[in-house]
Amino acid sequence: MVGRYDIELYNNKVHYHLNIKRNITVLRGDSASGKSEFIRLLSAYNANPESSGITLISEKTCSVLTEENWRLFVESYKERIFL
Amino acid sequence: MYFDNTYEDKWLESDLAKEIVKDVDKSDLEGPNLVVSPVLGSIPVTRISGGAKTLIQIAFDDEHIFNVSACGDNCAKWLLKIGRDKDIFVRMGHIMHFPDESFDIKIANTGDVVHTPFELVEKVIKEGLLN
Repeated sequence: MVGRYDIELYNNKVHYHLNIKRNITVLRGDSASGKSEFIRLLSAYNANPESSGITLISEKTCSVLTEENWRLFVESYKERIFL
Repeated sequence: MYFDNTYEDKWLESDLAKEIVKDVDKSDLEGPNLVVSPVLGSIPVTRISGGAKTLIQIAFDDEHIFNVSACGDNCAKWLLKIGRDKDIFVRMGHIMHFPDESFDIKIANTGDVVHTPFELVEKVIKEGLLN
């Protein structure tokens, strides 16, 4: 997958807006700068997109890779952003 | 995750833990059951940053060696502060930017003792310690 993609993720407390360019983007920052919270929000959204209270605006599906079988997920899904 | 399942309440009642959470997370640690964040509101202690969790474990758990890869550069001064009170042994998989002050850090891989951020970076790069 190539190109630039906008990801907007927010709830009532925090609002993330990222513009990423494929293939690999590294999220860096001080401790407590919101990196893990972003992942937590996205995981919660994916578990319950309709009822989580979280909004995701993204042209591509975004998934969090946390399982041991991450390689299988990456190989199985195309046109998807993995975090 | 290790912190979430092993922390002791008494750690989170200490002044040190409160100072760490205040400085790193910009939040108030009210005790073992509550943190007040200016961004997230009232949250459980399990939602403080990975860096703050790691620092608290390093300060109070002497039985394990902790990986400070979860610690941003804003945690470096706390490693030095904790290290002034007791010897600590950590695993560091990246070059952390320590404050520009004199310190004693022994690089276990080589046995060298470095005293400044420059010396640390120089030694890590020269010895290929991150390869």
